[in-house]
Amino acid sequence: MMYLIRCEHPQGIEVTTLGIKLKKGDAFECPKNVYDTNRELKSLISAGLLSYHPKLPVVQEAKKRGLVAHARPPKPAPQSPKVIHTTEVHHHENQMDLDSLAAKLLEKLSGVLSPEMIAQAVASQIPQQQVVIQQGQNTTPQGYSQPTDDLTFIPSKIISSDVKSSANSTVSETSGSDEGISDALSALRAMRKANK
Amino acid sequence: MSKGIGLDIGTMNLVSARIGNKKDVSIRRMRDLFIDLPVSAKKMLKLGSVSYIESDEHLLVLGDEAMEVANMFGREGRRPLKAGLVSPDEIDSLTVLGHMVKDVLGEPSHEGEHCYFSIPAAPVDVNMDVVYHKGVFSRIVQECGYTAHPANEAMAIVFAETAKEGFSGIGISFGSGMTNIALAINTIEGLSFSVARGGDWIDQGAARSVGGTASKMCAVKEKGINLNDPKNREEEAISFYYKALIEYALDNIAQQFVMKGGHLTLNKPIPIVVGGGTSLAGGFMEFFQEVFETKRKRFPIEISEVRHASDPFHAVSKGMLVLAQQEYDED
Repeated sequence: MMYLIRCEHPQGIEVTTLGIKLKKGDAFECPKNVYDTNRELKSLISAGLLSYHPKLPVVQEAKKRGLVAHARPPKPAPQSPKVIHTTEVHHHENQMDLDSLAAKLLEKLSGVLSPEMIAQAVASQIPQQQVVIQQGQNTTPQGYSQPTDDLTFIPSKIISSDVKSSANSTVSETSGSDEGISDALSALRAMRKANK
Repeated sequence: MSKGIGLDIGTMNLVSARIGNKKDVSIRRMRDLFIDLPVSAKKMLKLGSVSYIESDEHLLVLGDEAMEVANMFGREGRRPLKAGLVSPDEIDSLTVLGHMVKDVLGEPSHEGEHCYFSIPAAPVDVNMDVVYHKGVFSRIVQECGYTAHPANEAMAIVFAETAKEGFSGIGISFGSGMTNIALAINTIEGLSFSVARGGDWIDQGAARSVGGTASKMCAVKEKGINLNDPKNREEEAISFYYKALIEYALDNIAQQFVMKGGHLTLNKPIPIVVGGGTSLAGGFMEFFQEVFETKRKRFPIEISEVRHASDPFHAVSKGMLVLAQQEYDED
């Protein structure tokens, strides 16, 4: 937010902390954080030597073509209902060309404000932009990575000794020969020997 | 009895494998299901010669018998595992799960006998991890008197089935709760992941499509179905979902390999070996081969052949057994 500070004193005034000399009717824009922290400015305003008004933001009018144009939020892209998404929110500073912005401001306000003040004012006005990245779980490497030894509560005694069984177990049992297992074991032994 | 035991912890079945006295492989299986009944049902269970265990003022019927009893009482059986992992809805049933595992494993041949048990890889399509699941089963296996070794489920298929290829290949375990996939080169796990779709996903999808229930679709599947020749709308819906599951698994293999398998060097084509209970449907492998051929050209891995495991239902437990036996080779 910005304030528009205007000189009301007929003989003009100097705001020493800001290094600004003003004649009656001269005005300058002052960022809110500068205004809030500058005692000299406040005392001059309370004495009636300066007046201040909040500077209203400029709102761009919607283009009209016969009918009133309504600004409608963009429709979200249709999402597959089965894909689960996680949302990560990162804060990034807006990628503005600060150098050119500062140069332009300096050019216009060099006679009124110090460069340090302008830089401070510009910095305070840069919005924090939220960039939302949506990632499908099926494409994230996190899904693959096996979590390591996180602290997990596991009950200490799962199989209770108080349980009484009525009869034999209900397990079905079969047996038969399987060459595959002995082949696999022989092959593994051979590989191990070869590697030694 | 030979030392070492393999355990396949599946959403639908618990299966153990060990070498018996006559050097044959002994398989013990229990359906991963139970039902709790009030104590007043004891007489009826005894009359029906149904085995049960008594726990906290309840009677618990386990395994296949639980399914029969559930049908008798018009109730749904409780499944302690869901989507391949300890079910968050059945966290109270860990004790029951412990007893089931104890039953399937039996007594250890010696104190601290090595037991390798299957653990799924972290799924890439849902936000879940296997930390708790692994911890719970490690504890249960230890409480049964064994030394617990968690191992990747799909790698077990590689160990059981790809000896002639020097333990290089892609193992796919089509389970009930999820589908596990591992790519191995010379016994080394290069890439492994799971997708949260399996037999249950097929049942639920087919049930939604034709208006039945998931358990009815499961019964249709278990009764015997030929995916290449569906006989009615239900079977047709099931075969559509089978096809979608196979496509999904193959697409994910390609995607994960491109994303994370760049460092892997495959000097020669490797086989795809398919196992798991969901792959037992009639015509599954023809179906798989057909779907794979449509993707072969764009598939980032050169595949020598696609084949069914020699014993698809027990491939995981047998692979775990191979690993367990190795512990004694090193002694």
